[in-house]
Amino acid sequence: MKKLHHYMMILLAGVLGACSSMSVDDVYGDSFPAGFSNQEYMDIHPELRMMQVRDYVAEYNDQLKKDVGTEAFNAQKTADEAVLFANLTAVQQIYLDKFYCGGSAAVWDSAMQEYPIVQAQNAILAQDPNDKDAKAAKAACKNWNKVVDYVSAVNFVGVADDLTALQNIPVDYLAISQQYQMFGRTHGWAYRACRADEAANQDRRTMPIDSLQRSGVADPADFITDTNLYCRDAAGVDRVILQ
Amino acid sequence: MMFNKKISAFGLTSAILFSAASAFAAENQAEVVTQQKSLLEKLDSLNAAVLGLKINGTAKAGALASFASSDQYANESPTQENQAFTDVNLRLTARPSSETMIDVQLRLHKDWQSAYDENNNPIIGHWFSYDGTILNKHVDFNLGYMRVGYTPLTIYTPQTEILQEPEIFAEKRREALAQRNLDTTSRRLFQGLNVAYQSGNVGPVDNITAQLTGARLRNTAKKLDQVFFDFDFADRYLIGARVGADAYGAHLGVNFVNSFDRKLPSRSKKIAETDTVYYDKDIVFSGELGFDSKKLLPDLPFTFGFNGEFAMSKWTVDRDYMTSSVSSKYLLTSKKIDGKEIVYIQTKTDYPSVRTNQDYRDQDGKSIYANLFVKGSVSGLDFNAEAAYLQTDSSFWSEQASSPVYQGRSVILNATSFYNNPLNTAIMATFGASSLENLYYNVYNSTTLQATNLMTSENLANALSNENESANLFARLDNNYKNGHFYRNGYTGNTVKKLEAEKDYLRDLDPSVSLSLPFGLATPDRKGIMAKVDANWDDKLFFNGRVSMLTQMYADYGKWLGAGVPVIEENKFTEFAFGVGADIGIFAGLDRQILVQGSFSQASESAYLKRQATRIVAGLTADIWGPISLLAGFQQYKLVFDRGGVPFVGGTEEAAFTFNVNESSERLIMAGLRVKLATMSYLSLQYGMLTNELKYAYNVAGVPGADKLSITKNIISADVTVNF
Repeated sequence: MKKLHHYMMILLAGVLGACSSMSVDDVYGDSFPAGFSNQEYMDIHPELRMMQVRDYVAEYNDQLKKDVGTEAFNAQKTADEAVLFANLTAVQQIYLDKFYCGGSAAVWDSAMQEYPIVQAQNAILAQDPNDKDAKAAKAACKNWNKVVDYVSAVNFVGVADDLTALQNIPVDYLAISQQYQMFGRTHGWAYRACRADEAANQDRRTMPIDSLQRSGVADPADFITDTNLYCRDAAGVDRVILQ
Repeated sequence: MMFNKKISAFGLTSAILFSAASAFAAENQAEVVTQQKSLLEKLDSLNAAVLGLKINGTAKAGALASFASSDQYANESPTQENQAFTDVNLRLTARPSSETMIDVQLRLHKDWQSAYDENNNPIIGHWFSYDGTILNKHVDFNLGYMRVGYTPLTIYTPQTEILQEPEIFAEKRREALAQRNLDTTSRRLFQGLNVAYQSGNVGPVDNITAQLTGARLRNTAKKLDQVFFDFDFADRYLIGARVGADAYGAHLGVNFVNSFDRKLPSRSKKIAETDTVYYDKDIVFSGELGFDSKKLLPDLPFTFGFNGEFAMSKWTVDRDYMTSSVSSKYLLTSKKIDGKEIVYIQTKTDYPSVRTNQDYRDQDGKSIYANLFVKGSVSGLDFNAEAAYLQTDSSFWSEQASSPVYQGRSVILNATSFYNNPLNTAIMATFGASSLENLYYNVYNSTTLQATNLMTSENLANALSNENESANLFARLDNNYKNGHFYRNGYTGNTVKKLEAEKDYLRDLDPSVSLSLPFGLATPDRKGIMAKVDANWDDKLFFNGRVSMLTQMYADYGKWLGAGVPVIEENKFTEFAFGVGADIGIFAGLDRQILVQGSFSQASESAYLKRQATRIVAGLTADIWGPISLLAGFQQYKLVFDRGGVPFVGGTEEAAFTFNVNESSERLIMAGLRVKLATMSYLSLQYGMLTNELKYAYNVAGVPGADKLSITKNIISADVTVNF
């Protein structure tokens, strides 16, 4: 009897073992809304990817700085940026890419008009780095400066072909999808494109939750969670998904 | 009354045991003095059986002046060193019963040279033990300080053997050893617990023994005390066990010894990025077999037999060091770009330094020796003859059997002298003072602690690196004149780990323990035969002879060349020694001892450094008149390095020079009077002359040359010793 009990336990354990799935690939799968796709969510919110790229580049540059020392790094950075910003085709490609800088064509066009001014001021500053007028004139070229800000944030120091390097940065899809779980969903972020039959659904901006969340709260405990799901239509309007 | 009778019976048995033990200890020396001493010990152990607390010890008041002269001393160098001291060793023994004993030994040392630096003296306790023979004498135990010996391949202490060593030398050597709690036996000094069981007769078996030993070993970073506070925080332990049985004159035994570093204490401290901590583990397992004909053939005038041992060792080392690792985590982060807030998940990557453990060395080795002996007594002639075969793998390592107590290479007398050029300083830093000085002299000081003798570290959290002095150093000088005890002594009870032994090239410079077997019978990579004869005719005439021929297969001369390329050769050792002693007093029919002794020994090797060591010893121990004895000794030791000398690189990195010491000649002459003032009180007056000459070739700044460094020390000492 004792033996039988023993064997039964082994059998039971075997059955339990056989039936349980050992797969842990999709542990978060169930908690996402139907039709959620990492790629689609990233396409709708490219700034999430942009931040990833910026952090990746910053980390690379930090390590380089540690390896070669601050002084050598600064010298290399100045030289590297001089080469990069002379290559306007590459700068344009990087700036207009929604995953790298997310720049608009309008800003780019204005920056191109400012570009000759910047070059002229640079020539003066090369003679006298302290020329006050030249500095002020350069600072006034706001659009170009914006382009420089965005593009230098994703510039690998010491890498000649930045565009290829940027394309080779691996995408951390887990960080993208978890952003939806931890923040996007409760704040009413759209997670997919709207289907044709959803084109007339209510615009989030007209819903009370929008103003409630927009006004903000002093205490995190008072935060009101958005329980709806949203899609984004072709015009960029977030609409509620009927459930 | 019954009670008293029992005690005296115990006293007698222990006296006999004691004398047997000391006879074993002095087996090598076979000196008359040792025999006298053992008689004293017999009397002493009779006293020892008295219950209760007893205090005895020795008190010694003396002075020693050493006058050194050398052409190589700088003009400003001090040449005289004085010691004037009173040294009292107190031995407190407490016997709660006749079975157990508590033994505490204290040392009080007053240096009159520094008497005004400090007005109170600390008492140093240097021996604490609780020993006994319990359970109807079946179990012996030691707790605390103890001396334990298993077999020559497991737990053993290789000792220097100088045939017919005159008493004036032997006494000096014993004294130097005693300062380190050491003695001339082959047992090893430990601190821990030792329990031995003896069954006595069990059927046909004469005796069954079982023994367990546990000890904490000192895990030293440095083997020679350069400063007083020389310690390592890591723990090293020893576990030993053995069982054996005796029947029909045969002995069968199994021994196991495990010495290992504990990791947790080391890992509880931070180490720097550049540090590496090594953890060493040495396991030795051996079986021994012996036979003595005495039991089966008791009627023969001689006995014969053999003993042998086969041992296997496993030596492993692993190490800890810091490596950089990558650790990433997700962080919900909010950032403002261009006025727009973006909330995203950021990957935060850190590169923390983590301790990494790596297997470093792993070696298994075997060793075997077999020894045949014949001993006996035929018409007043006691003799003992032995012949042995030894074979040990190069990968064999038995730490507890290998570490000799003699280290040498330090400067004992006139240690404050300095030299006229960096070359001589570098030579003395490697060769040290003569080996005769290290063998026979020691200095024990009680000195005020100060900046030069306190070891400090800048970063107290980090115990290994950082050689910088501590910010607290000068604050510590406000210690209100605490005294510390300092040794200048060529002996140590510490064991040497294999990695340390491998790195210690300088060990080869002073082969005073043995040229062919520096680590005793357990010396790795040896194969060959040894023979010895000892004879004693009626305590009138003594003879000893030794011969050995051993081969080392993988002698690496390359380690001396500094290029990191091994130069492996076969190295053949040839050693022989003989000694003769005669008590002329007895021969001449006088009622006093006039012992004349002498010995000659030579050891050489065919490869490696091509060393040749020659020792000539002569001595006289004579009772002249009444309480006055004359003691004299002469010893000459010459070491030749035939392969162009021992190459060294000295100086600084910018101004390096090379030198090759090719010959070292030493001589020690000692003569003295010993006057017995009263029972157990002696006055001793001694004169000694030590000469040491090192011949070397050098190359300084591209200019080659040859020169010599010679030092002569005249030592005068006088002391009164009272044993109580």
